[in-house]
Amino acid sequence: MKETVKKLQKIVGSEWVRTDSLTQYFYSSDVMTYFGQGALYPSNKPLAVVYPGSAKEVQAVINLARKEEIPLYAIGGGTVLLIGSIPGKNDIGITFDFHRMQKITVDKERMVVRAQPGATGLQVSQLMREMDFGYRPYFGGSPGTSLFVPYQVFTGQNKMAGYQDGMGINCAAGMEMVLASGEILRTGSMAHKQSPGWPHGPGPALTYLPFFANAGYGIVTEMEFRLFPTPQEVGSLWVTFPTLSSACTAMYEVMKKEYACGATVMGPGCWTHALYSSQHWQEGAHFVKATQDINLIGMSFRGSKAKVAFERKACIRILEQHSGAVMPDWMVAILDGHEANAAGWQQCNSPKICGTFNGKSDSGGIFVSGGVFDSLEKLEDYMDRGMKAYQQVCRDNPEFLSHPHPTVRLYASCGQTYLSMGGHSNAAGEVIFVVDYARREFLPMVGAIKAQFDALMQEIGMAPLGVGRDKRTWTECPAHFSMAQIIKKAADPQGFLAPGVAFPLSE
Amino acid sequence: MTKQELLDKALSCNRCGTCRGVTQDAVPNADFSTQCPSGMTLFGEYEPAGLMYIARGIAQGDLQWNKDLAKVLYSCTLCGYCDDLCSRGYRHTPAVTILEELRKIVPQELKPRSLQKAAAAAEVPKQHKLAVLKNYGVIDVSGSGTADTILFADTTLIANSSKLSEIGFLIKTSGRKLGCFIDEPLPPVEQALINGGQQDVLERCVARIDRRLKQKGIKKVVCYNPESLSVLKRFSRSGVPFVSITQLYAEMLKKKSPKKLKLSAVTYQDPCHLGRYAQEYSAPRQVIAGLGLTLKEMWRSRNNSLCCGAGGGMLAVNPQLAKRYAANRWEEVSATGAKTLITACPYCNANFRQGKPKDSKIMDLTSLMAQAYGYTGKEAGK
Repeated sequence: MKETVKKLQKIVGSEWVRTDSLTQYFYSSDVMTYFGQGALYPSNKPLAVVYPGSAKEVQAVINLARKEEIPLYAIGGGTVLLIGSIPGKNDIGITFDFHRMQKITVDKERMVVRAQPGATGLQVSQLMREMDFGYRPYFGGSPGTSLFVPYQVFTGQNKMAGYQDGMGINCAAGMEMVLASGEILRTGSMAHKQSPGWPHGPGPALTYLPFFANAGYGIVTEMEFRLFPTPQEVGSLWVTFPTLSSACTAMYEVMKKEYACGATVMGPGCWTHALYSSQHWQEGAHFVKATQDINLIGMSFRGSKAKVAFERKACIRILEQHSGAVMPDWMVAILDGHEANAAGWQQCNSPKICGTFNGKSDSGGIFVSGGVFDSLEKLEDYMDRGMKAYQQVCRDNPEFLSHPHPTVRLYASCGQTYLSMGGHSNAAGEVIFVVDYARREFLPMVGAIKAQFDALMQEIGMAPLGVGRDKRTWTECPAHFSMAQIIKKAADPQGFLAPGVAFPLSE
Repeated sequence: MTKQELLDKALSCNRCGTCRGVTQDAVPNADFSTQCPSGMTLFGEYEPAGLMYIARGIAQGDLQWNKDLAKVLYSCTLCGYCDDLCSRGYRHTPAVTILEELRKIVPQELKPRSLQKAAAAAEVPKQHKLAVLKNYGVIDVSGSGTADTILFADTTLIANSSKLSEIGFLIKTSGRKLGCFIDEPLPPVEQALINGGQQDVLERCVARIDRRLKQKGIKKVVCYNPESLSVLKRFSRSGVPFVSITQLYAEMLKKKSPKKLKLSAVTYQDPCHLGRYAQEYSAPRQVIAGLGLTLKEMWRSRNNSLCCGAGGGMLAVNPQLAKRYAANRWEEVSATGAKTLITACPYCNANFRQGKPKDSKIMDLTSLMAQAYGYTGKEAGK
């Protein structure tokens, strides 16, 4: 390895190759790993961490790694709320950290923002706000989280800014990716200098290829996202429903009319989803627990003042016809922050809500269970029975419910977001547990809840959806995964890109 | 602190990265959106989370102390921003407490000698030039003299005759009666003791200070050096208020008009120990306004201020790195268009001199005040 390190130092500069014990330790764990108990995945140390300064340097490192058959892994800008950056095995490989690549440029003519992988969501948000543009991708984690882990743009629903423009992934117009062969591939809007900011053209329509592949196909070194003009007016609407079914039916009615720019049906215990952008996290967190049985639709509007007023009124009429009750202003006030999100700025979680979710956790405390459904009935069944199981565990362990952190959320996302991902579903349910690991005694009960949700998922029969390196939607689906493996073999025949992450180590 | 306590504190951090940036509303310019001096310069484990990982690793036995760990530990300026920003959310990783503990428990052979020297100087005052103050009518309270308010002579002031002269001049001009322990100075404590992991020495010294303040019936202590102000505020059990000298200047300007200074627009560096640690943001600004100067604030100011890079003993341990940190701030100074950078901290002042652009100048707030009231420097010899 010493010889390899020397070669790496020659490529990126001696200061930007680190092999010391702290570096290895620092890059050995993320929110899904823990150093001891409660780990979903083991902590695995890389042999070295490299901080490249350009795509050319990434290319040179890839060429070296291929030649010397060393696995490569990647992390965006050093934070760990998005998963997939940890080596597939202990003491193997080199990890890329993209801190040195933080450049953000805006092309007003083409209406795109181009960013390198080390940039953070906060940095882009600031720039957009300053330039009076909005952008739509929504990134998980916190403002300090890198804009995109280079291989794993968060495909979140982007909530209030959302559906009219598709998911976060739909706003990625193009990317630059260094392939395993060392070739630099530019896709979509980045294929040519004059390319318009279209998501699929005129370059090769491969922009979505590396999503969820966790660096398995190549290392993304730059990405372009579409920009949108700042709307004259933005607004939001929050309506509660007696049943999930009535909320979903109402939601379809709204969607048929093409009203609202972002709308989400959230099942019981869903409020945490609604709170992601909220600045009043603490009140909200308590609300979540106090209103476990609420079914909710949240939506936003943007456009001219008249359009926003008209759509809002029309939506209220439709939703009320399906037994919806508009939430009072004082309750909506807890959810503020969504307007900024709808305008296209606050495209990351509010730091305060991150504080709530990740508070006092010694490994990040998010357990995920959930899936996609082929019918609304199955989704409703899952959420109903799942919530009952959750509530039973809470009743058995009252300290869990009364603690400020541990909570659960369920949300159902209807419609075009998932259709746009390939049409494999028109409804999804997701359960996210947020657990205070500092109270380690909670771990068994969280495990119990998760096990019940997982069992339900199997019983009802749905494709699991999740976060975590071996819980990708398509890797869990045999047909999708075999397709992905074919691409992987073509893109990386030696299998040195991120082995053991999205693809098994043996691959 | 036990290992378990250290671990529990360190586990509050899950490396979300929020502490790396400035709050969105505070900085509308993406170029100035990162904050941690070492993190934004050296990245990775040099960010606050890296230091928390050291604490985790050490507490759990996953890591053993070595030069690499010490290098990261002593690259932190202890500016306290990560701790402060983290505490603005619900979660709060007590980063400053953790870092101080790490500097305490790091093996002796890994502690930089320069920090040890600085710490020793703080404990035992050697040669001092405090007698200069007597020229300006400052009362020596170590003897029979009495005064309600005293000037605290820290390590940066105690042997600095020109600065003592400026301050003496200002005290005399203000017409206020101020005392100082002149012939038998107080231990000139400051942050250096914490930087060197010698909190026990600091606590011992502050106890001595407390006793002497009580003996002399001192009602208020004025500090020139923010690094002394912050530790005295934090560790003294005397009940005596410790205030920044900038407060004295702000009061003086209200009573007595200065002459007009010929300076174009200025900008101001909030010293970490005056701002974040001692919560004094307004007095320096009142002084700048009172002097009739136009202040152009940097993006990162007040509680979002970026450290100059000297803190945590950096200037003594690794001046080259401190210079790299200062360069980050100089970029922001330039962005304001102001050609004069005002500081109210001797360490900020010294560090900013490293890498200062040719067309810019640095002014110490005390020197600026003295100048405005007609101090020429010749008074020092009188």
